[in-house]
Amino acid sequence: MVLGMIDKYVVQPVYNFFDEVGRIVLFAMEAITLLFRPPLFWREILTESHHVATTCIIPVVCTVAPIGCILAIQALNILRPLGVEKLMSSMVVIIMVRELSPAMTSIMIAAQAGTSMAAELGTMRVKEEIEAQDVMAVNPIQYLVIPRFIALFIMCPILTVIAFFVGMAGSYVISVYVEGVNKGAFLTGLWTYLEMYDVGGAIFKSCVFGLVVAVISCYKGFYVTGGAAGVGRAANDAVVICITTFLILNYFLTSILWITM
Amino acid sequence: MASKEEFRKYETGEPIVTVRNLSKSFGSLRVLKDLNCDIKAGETTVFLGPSGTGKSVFIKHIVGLLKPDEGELEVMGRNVPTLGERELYELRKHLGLAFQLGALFDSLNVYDNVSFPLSHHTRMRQKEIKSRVAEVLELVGLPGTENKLTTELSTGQQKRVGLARALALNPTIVLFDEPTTGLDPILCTTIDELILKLKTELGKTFIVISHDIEGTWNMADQVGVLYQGTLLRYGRNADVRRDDNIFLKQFFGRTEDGPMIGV
Ligand SMILES: Nc1ncnc2c1ncn2[C@@H]1O[C@H](COP(=O)(O)OP(=O)(O)O)[C@@H](O)[C@H]1O
Ligand SMILES: [Mg+2]
Repeated sequence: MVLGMIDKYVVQPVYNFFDEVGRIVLFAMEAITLLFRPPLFWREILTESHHVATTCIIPVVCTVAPIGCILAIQALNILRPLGVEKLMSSMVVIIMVRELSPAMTSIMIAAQAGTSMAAELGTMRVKEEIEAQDVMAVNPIQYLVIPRFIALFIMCPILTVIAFFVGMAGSYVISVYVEGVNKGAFLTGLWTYLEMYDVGGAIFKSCVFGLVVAVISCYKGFYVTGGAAGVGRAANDAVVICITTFLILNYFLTSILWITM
Repeated sequence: MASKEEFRKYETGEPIVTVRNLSKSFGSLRVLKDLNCDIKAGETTVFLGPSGTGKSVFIKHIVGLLKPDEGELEVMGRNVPTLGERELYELRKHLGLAFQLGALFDSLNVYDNVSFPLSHHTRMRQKEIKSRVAEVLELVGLPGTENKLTTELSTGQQKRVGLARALALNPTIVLFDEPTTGLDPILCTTIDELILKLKTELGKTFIVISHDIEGTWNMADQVGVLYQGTLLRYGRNADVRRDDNIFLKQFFGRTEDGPMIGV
């Protein structure tokens, strides 16, 4: 009885978890091996990249700009009474570059592009389109999955950079025009602590996050079972698993890249 | 190595597909049980049976989408289950499969669907591809539909576009999963006649899956009766037809009172 419960609620889930992780890793490795084997479908890569960029840009801008605004307000709340208002932009820019632009961008990309990829591939699986491609001697991983991998790997850092500028613009507008911070102080403060290393680190992070979204969303969609309901589940799982995974991963990446000894 | 050999031409009546002791299970469900048959080149072989008996599973084995648990399967001299991806893809360029539900690419229009195998596997110019697409669409009775979205088509039209796509590369063997299921009687006859015409004109080998008895008698040279994963009867059209009564009673006569026949 108790053993049965342990089996059902502990052993099985743990087993399933590692089973799934193993499959995802194998899937990623297969895709990466096929990446180096021709043909590479350039048109699909361009279409997918364009699709990711156009569908994600507005959600990214609309979430990062207000984040920039609130960061400015909260930073001023702490720094103004201490009389170090000029450090406000130094603090905001560090948080924005190192953490919030990669994370917020990836969250929106997972929500927008990741779910749409999972649903699209899932529908193709259910409708036997993926099998049809295979029968027509076109490898579906090369034709469908690799272009999506590349699109996310490229667009995630690009959107992250855009998000960074938008976020900083938000915080500039609030601090200069609403809170009355000195323009010059804000702009010079930006360079107090920021280094190229931070920008590189942020781009590295966003490449990793882009890959996480690509691998998990495509995996979930590509191996859908169970018809239309399965497609819905895949899209749902994809977004939750993606965001959880890369936010946890984010902690480790930040530790490696920026921990102060 | 066999796989490096050129694909040779098969004379009419020569076995082009041989199936030996083919078995397949999904979990505890035994779908195919010990199938044996020779399918001859230049003929139309129809596999008949109620739905859910493993007809689609059988056809997916022939094109190598599924691997058997046991048994051998040779298509055009290739031992399909043992082929690597490259050899399998070479073989598949000689096979055209029209799926039961069409399996057209939703995101592409009719032209892009039908030209898909052409643009991937030939060096044809745009103009040549265009005329080939027009040609196969004409064959399946849908001329001038190139710019339609596949979602705008009826199921019957989608199936025919699927057939056009399967025919585009001019394959040696055309496999057709339930061409007439769900179509109105006039279209059924049209498709049956189309298959007859293609066979006589182009000398192609057709492997057709069906549960339409009348259509089968009209177009088949060879008939196989599949029931619950076993090949009950496999022989010439006329011979099987003479047994008509026996198996009609056994399988198809019970349409009204049994759950044996679905869709
Ligand atoms: N990939 C699969 N996984 C599990 N079961 C399957 C799979 N494909 C088919 N089946 C099962 O095999 C049986 C035969 O299916 P199918 O060949 O599609 O029947 P039909 O004769 O109507 O074409 C069905 O019970 C179906 O549920
Ligand atoms: Mg079927």
